[in-house]
Amino acid sequence: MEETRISLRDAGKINPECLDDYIAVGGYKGLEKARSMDPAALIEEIENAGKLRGRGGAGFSTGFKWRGAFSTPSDVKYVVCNADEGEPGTFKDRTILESDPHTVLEGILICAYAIGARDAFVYVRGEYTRCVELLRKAAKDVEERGLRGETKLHIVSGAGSYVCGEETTLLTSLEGYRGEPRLKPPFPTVAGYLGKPTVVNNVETFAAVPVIVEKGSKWFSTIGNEKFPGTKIFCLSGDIKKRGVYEVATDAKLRDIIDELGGGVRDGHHIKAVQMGGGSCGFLKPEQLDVQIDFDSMRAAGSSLGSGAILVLDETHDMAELSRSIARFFAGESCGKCVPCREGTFRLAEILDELMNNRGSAEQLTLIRNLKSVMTGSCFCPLGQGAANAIVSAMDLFPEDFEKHFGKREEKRHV
Amino acid sequence: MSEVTISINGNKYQAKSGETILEAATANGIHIPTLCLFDGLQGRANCRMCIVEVEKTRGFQPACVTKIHDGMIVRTETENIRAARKATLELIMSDHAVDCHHCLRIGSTDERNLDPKFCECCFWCDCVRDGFCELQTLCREYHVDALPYVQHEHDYEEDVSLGSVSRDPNKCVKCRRCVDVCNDVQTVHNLSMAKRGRDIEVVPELGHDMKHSACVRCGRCVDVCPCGAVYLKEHKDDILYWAHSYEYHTAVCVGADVIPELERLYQAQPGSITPRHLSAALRKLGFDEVYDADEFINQAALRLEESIEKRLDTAPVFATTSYAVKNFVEKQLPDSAGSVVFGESPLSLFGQVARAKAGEDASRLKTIFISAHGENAAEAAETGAVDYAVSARELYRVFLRSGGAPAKRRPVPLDTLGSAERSPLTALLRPRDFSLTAEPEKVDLTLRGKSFSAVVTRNLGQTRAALAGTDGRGLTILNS
Amino acid sequence: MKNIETLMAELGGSGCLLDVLKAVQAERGYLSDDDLRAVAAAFGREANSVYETASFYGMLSLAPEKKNVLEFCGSVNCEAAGRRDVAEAAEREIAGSPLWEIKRCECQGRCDTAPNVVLNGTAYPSMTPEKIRALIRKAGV
Repeated sequence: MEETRISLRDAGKINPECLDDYIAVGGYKGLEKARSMDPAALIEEIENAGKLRGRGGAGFSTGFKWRGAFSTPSDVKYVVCNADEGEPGTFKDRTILESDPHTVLEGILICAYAIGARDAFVYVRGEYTRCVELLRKAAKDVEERGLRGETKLHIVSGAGSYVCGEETTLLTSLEGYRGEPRLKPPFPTVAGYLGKPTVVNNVETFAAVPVIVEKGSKWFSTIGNEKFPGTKIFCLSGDIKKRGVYEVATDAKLRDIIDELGGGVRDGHHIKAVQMGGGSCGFLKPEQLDVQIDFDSMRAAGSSLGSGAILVLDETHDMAELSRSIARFFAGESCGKCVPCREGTFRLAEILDELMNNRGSAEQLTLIRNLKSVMTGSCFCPLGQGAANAIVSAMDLFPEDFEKHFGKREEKRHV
Repeated sequence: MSEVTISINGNKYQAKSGETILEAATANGIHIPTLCLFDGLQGRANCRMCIVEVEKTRGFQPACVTKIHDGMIVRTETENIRAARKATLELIMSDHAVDCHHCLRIGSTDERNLDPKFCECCFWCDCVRDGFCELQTLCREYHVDALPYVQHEHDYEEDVSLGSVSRDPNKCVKCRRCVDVCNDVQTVHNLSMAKRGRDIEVVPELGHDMKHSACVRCGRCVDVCPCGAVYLKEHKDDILYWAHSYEYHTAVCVGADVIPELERLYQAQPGSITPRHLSAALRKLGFDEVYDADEFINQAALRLEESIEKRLDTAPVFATTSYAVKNFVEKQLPDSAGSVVFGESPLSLFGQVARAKAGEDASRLKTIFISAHGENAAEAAETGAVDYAVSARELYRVFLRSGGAPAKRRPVPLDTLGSAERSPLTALLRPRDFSLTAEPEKVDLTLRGKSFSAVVTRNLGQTRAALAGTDGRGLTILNS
Repeated sequence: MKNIETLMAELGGSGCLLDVLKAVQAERGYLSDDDLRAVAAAFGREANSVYETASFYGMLSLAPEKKNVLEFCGSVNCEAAGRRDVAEAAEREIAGSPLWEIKRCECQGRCDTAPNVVLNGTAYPSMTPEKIRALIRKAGV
């Protein structure tokens, strides 16, 4: 199986600090073409790119977002690139930014032209200092070369918070406040940054835009899965021979990515489970790996495409211990705004702690299932809503890993 | 606003487009529980108690902020919703210092065992909000009893540095009402919500304690707190002690706003408790002198008249007898301090008169000022103008413990300062209900032959705006 | 120490509040009350609002930190790659030294080189118990 590189087309082939390198491989041609088009027609192209679905994890239709911001009457509009890649197992945006920052800037400028935004922000997670450096240099070069047109580029960075990857939380953080999510509706395309229509898209999404505009949506629609055309970048980590970043057409099978591109599980071991998409997605057993990697097929298999993370786990792992790790992660990242998330994630971690200290019981596991149903319904934002997913999936698929830690029954305390 | 039709629990209702589900439900008599919502503060949807099911949406939606649309189908009381609300309450209670109903006699807090007749008012359950707590009421409604989790408190230290407004972070449900009222309504900008996740906590200015923070002691955080996390230090035991003590003389001043509050607490008919009933009940407990605060409000008004009248011709006049407003202006608006007439408060005048009357025995006099919500607690604690400032609810619990029932006593006259002319300013200086939403009150009055218009502010935000304003002449009474 | 205006100018006027707070922290080592007030004034915000914001983020500190801050990523990817052995080796090596603090940090987005650690703001990939011992010794216990 071969990679199909669109977002990563220039990676390794050009110097990321050199604008001329990027231009030499066709850079900013897409922007030129975009500026010759009527904004409405440009947006239609993006919509026709077979519903280019966002590559950040939520999978929302990009064209729909651009159309939404375009149609909302306002004198001021914004474009925001979500480079707050915090989903565990995900390092594709870092790879794109460290190898080809200009493709992202070009995609952003195309979007800004389409919706009429005079300011565009790239919000990079605070830990990616090299990406910030490269982006600031790239933005400066774009400015000096007179390429930015009417749109000012701002490169800003976060300060250590996973939840700021969620689009409304990102906007609140960008405005200079605590990373707390906002209600939707109103959607950011209606009222986003500073209450103005805003398009928020992922790095990988913007990276593909210049090529889609230059070569046309028809070309893009022929690649990969019909309902979800184009390519997707996957990040392989865990017990795989060749960890790294791979971009494939969207009709690829998961097993082929793992075996052919990733080289399969490390020698002398076999796959126990695969976690797709990041911390809140369910696990897949080895027999389920023949699934196709588009959003719908993944969901049907009980998992999720998510951000494109693929964590391969071999038989040496205790799924209860990994579940505890996931629970602790969410407890540490909860913003604390709503009750069921800040208390629920804590309790998930606490119950699993007790389990790992051999003080667990079947009732405690039932409690986890109850918490999942409460949190899925009641939590304010996707962090809390998804926090218990992976844990319950592990309990369903690998009950023996949990039961082996059962011990003395914990006494219940009354109010 | 146009009318739309929505369905709630299978029945169709008319509602106004742009309303929230909660507003539409309440207008039609349908109860949806809330905890973090407070009229006048921005809806935060933090507590997740008002969750409802809306057809064609995933999960539950918060009724307090979700706007209705034509044809919306809502369910407010399904089994799943009730289970989720109960689970949310269990999560809150597992991180809450439960000081209510630690009843030694019953030995359990199983709500099925709780019988009010059992209660001896021993006050071992020492949460000041016991019986008046929104969280407790919700727990009763959803039969929250044995908790599935181990109680895992944070073990925060209580902040009692002020001696009046006090904070117990172990009871905080993080609804953000106090933070929002302090910042958005009072514009004091003291409280904030720091850290994140389960460590989230309400913190006074930059992490200092209340005494060393920007707090101006307006006490509105106490007014809005749904439970006992922010409260006024109480003095029930102290005042009873002094009332019973043979060696000490006690003088009590009762605000007019106390009686309606007592009637509400006793669930009595309005008008069934008169000042003379109250005077009799207080004397029965052992308090020696009982005054009506209105006399001292009048005294304060008379003293203000002259300084106000002199300035009225030349400029807008600002006046106040509020301790919190004084702190607010001095700390935050020092440039305006010169244009405000700071009058002596009724509480302070009462203290002076009572002590003057006691003469040489003043060292064995205890003065107690009772107001509806204890709003002058800080003035008493910090200036010593009176020994104790106490709220109507404290008085109510003192009566409960001692078996006092004011409406049943034979009425007895109050002590009085004697007749004094009524100042036209007295009505303006009477305590106002704290309001987050009402506009400043406008009153026309005549002072010493001059007619003019007066404005009474209802919160510190309005006070700040009034001082910044450049509206011509007239009198503004500043409140907190 | 550079003042707020200089730091904001260096950021080219595009810096959002978080960028400025990080720059101030880089100067002083943490964010003091005075720093928070100065940043608040520069942004036209209230001091308690800037404090509230600063206290939320993992990379900002409101109190002086220990000389060496060692952070372990808390995600399942590093856990699966052997974070625990590295963490235990680190704890043994540090042995309660007052110069060191061990914390958790966000997933660093370097899962291809898990387990990762961050020492004083710099990420070190592909950690093993031997490598962490060497790293700690080099920094000084």
